[in-house]
Amino acid sequence: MAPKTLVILSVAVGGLTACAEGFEGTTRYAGPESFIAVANDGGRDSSTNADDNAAIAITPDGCQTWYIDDGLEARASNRLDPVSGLPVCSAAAEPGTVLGPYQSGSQGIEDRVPRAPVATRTERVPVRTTKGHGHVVHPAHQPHH
Amino acid sequence: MLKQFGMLKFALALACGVGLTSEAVSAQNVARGEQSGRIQWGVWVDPDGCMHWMADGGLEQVQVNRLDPKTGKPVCVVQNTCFVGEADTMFATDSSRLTAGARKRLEEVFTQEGVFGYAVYGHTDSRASRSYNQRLSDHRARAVANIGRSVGAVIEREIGFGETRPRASNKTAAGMKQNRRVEVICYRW
Repeated sequence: MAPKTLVILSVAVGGLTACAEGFEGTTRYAGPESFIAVANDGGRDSSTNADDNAAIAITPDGCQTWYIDDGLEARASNRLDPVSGLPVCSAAAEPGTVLGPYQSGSQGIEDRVPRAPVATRTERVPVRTTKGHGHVVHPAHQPHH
Repeated sequence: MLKQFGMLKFALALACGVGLTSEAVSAQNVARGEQSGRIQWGVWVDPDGCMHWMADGGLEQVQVNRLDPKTGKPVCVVQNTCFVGEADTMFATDSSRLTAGARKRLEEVFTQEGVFGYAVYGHTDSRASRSYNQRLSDHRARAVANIGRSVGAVIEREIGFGETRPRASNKTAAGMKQNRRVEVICYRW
């Protein structure tokens, strides 16, 4: 019975923490040697994330990204072409859309979503040019004499 | 006991407003390539000035690099993150010999606190030939990087761009003056 009392008390103090710990198998941070992230999900949705399913989310530039929702957590990365290294951007998809099932398949819980888009503002800023080839005068991996 | 704990987790989940099951619409039944939802992307700019697309999914957040669709390079705001020197005041015309004032200034740049490495980039205007300008920018970048090395700085990269990356028009004298420059990027902790 003792553990039960303990958990309920912690709910009273910080319900959300208890909630996340119950789901995600977490503990308190204990200094600079603490692993703040590990290579696998250790929560109630624990799995090898290697088989996770990814949806394709389209950025405002029309570029595709891998989008994986794992329940209380998510991750995403750019889709890059294996030969050229270039991002995969195509007019085939509307910016801001998500294509295909986006939950990892091992998410543990059904996803909850935001209520509505938030207020935003648009700003025009000058960006650096990416044109032009540079000549590497001195690669960092070679000792300089 | 174990079973009891399982029940408890379930109850806590409900208290947190997160259901384990749902009869609601499932986004997970759609086919690959078929729309399952929408994202309102926002922008986050990192301390180097480079943009990221970010989105808050309610219980989680994600972020990806904003890459130029044509070049694949990151899209970064024009900002001076460390040092941009006008070549006219740093070097004699057509030379990569630094003035005393430029040396002094660069020694300050290369001995800053909280910087673990530097990148040095040389640029010219579009007068003279491309190959001449490439060489001049290489030599100027090297001259600046060598000041860094002389005060113990780690030079991560040193690149001459010649006339290929103007930041202003080469059609006016004022534009060309802006294009003749050496830029130092600081990699800060």
